[in-house]
Amino acid sequence: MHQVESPSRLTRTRPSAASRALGVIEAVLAPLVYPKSAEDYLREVFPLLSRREILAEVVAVRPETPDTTTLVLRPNGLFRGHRAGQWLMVEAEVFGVRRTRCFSIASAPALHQEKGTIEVTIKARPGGVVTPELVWRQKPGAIITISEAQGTFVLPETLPARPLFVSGGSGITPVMSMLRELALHNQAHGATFVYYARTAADVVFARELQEHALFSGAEILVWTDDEPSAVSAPFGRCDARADLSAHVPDFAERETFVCGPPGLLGAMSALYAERGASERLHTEAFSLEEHTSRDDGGTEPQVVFARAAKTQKGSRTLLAMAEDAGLTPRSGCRMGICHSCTCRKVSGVTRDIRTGELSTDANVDVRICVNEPVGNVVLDL
Amino acid sequence: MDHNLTPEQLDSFGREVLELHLSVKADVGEADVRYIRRVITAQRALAVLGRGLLFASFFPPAWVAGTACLSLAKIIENMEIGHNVLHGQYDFARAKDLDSQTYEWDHLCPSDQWRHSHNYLHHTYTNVRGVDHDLGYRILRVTEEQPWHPGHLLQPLYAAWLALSFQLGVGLHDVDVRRFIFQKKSERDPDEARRLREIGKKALRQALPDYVFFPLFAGPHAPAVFLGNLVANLVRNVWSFTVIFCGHFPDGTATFDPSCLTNESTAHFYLRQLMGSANFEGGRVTHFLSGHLSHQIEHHMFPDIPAHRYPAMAKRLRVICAKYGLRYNTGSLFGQFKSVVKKLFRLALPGRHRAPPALAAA
Repeated sequence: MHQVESPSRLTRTRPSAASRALGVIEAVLAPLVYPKSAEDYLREVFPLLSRREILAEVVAVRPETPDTTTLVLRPNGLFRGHRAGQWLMVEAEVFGVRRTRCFSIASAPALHQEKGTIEVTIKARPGGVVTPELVWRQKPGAIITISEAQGTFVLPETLPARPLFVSGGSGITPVMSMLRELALHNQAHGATFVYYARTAADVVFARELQEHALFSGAEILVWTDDEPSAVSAPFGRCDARADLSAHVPDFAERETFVCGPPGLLGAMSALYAERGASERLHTEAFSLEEHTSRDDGGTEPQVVFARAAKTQKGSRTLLAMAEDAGLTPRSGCRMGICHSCTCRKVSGVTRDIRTGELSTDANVDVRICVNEPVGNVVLDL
Repeated sequence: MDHNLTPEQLDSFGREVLELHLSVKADVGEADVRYIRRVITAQRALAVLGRGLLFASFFPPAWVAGTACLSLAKIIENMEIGHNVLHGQYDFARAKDLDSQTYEWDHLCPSDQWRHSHNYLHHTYTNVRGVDHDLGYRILRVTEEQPWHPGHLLQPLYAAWLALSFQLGVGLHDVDVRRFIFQKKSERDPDEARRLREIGKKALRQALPDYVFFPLFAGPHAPAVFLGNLVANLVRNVWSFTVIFCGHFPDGTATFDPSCLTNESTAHFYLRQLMGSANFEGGRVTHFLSGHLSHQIEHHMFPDIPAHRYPAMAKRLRVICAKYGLRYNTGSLFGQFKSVVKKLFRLALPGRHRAPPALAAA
């Protein structure tokens, strides 16, 4: 069985010579540029340079479908590679505000090993803040911050013999990475790739899937609701149970990798449990960003002060509630002017009592003196 | 507080100002981030250029140009970048390099002390006697309500010294230095001692490049580089002093009794900031180099709005002030500074300072 080089082994390598040299340069320059860091100055000329943050340049923007775009990223040397199926966090500036979202890496690890690039394929979520910007407004040349690759939904190091991949909608990205990795190592023959898309126009990577069907030996089955797409022979509404039974009769004997909406995951789990094949089923859920306030009217909002391990119920300002809970957070003007009380909100929705503005993102700073909880909130306090 | 507004008028004034405030706040975004990043890049380029030119100071025009570039770089870092970033004006961007909680500015005062003494004390209790230490920096008598004592006779000299060493004066104004020096060690407030140590540490690290490392690198030109750095620091101090003193001390700026703080409404807060602050006029360059503190009134009413938006906000605010018959204190930089200097001399003596009658409206 073919061994794919695992990036987890790369993580144990020593820092590169370039990184060590940079460290020396920075240490020498540090006293001269105090209180800035040498990196602040160097980055004006070399925008990807950093010893702390994984920065990536958007080297190309490739439209895939009307609402899906692939961003080709070239990360700096701090990025230690990824495994097929993993995801990473992308921190991009949207309307001037840094926002973080998670995306699966769609490209094969081999692409990063050979060309130093990775690809994320993003679908614009209707009504979303970040994804429409990344899909329709992202320009090549931008510098974004990314995280290490994460996640355990990966292609095993010992490649399975005849893997089955099932995905729906934008859930195609992690399994596409797996298929691409197999194909690049000439291991795709025997693999089956099942994909559900709403319409033929929504089939992401349609051309490439066609090529895989023709040249890499993988069996590609694409179902769309409206009409047969270029790659799909069968079509009709998504019914994983019937489709697999009819077209992949031996599915329960194959290592199966599934990513898609909750309905698909539920159907697959039930099917594999019935056949006693649950251990061969590997799933990745992708949940849409939660943007609505979780205020269901009846229940009283609750704030968890994570560091102090205290909980407080009520609907007063976060600062007042912290003090009620016996904490003494830093505070100043108590009217939203001085930013002394700024504190990290780990999760939950808060409302600015002056403007009524909701803060829905996780891991952002809020001024606790002028914000009240809406539903459950966790503060790093 | 001295104004002729009925409670209803005050309320409606407050609402109009709040509307102005929120409408601009809602518009803050991408353009502001792009602006401040351009300023930061330009400031760094000026700093590098200045240091470079000073190494060529065997050629006298290079010394002059280098010192000028370095002075500008230091001024821009403190005024348009540091002061404004520390106010949280760019916190909305959630960018690490523009974050008010982690930004460390090129100023002797450590950022976290500054956020307390300036953002909190000075901006919340602006011109409230006995609470806002910016009101005379503990050594100057800037309003007749402050009791006179013989030490004030020398205050024009103190002021001149403060102008030259403004970083130090501002850096220390969260510490009651006089009391600290005369206290016995056992009586000292440990927190105050810690703050002083932090200031000392930062002052040393800040002085080393200007007065030791860069001169050493310059070899035979060490004295020229040393002098250029010294001049640049003095230029920054004198300019900051001028800008800041023109912000709260010109004739017509009001000071307040602590009693006005009880149950203060938003409208009253806006009004107090308006009455306690003064602007000066100038071109775009003057405004920029002052970190837009030439619009001290707008800065005090809207400290969380990116400062480069103050000139546009001023136009709308002046319309509101005119509508309510409120004085909007502005004048030429020279005129405002002259009135501050006159006041400092007059208040060195006991008794009242008589403002020119036209300015007594507030």
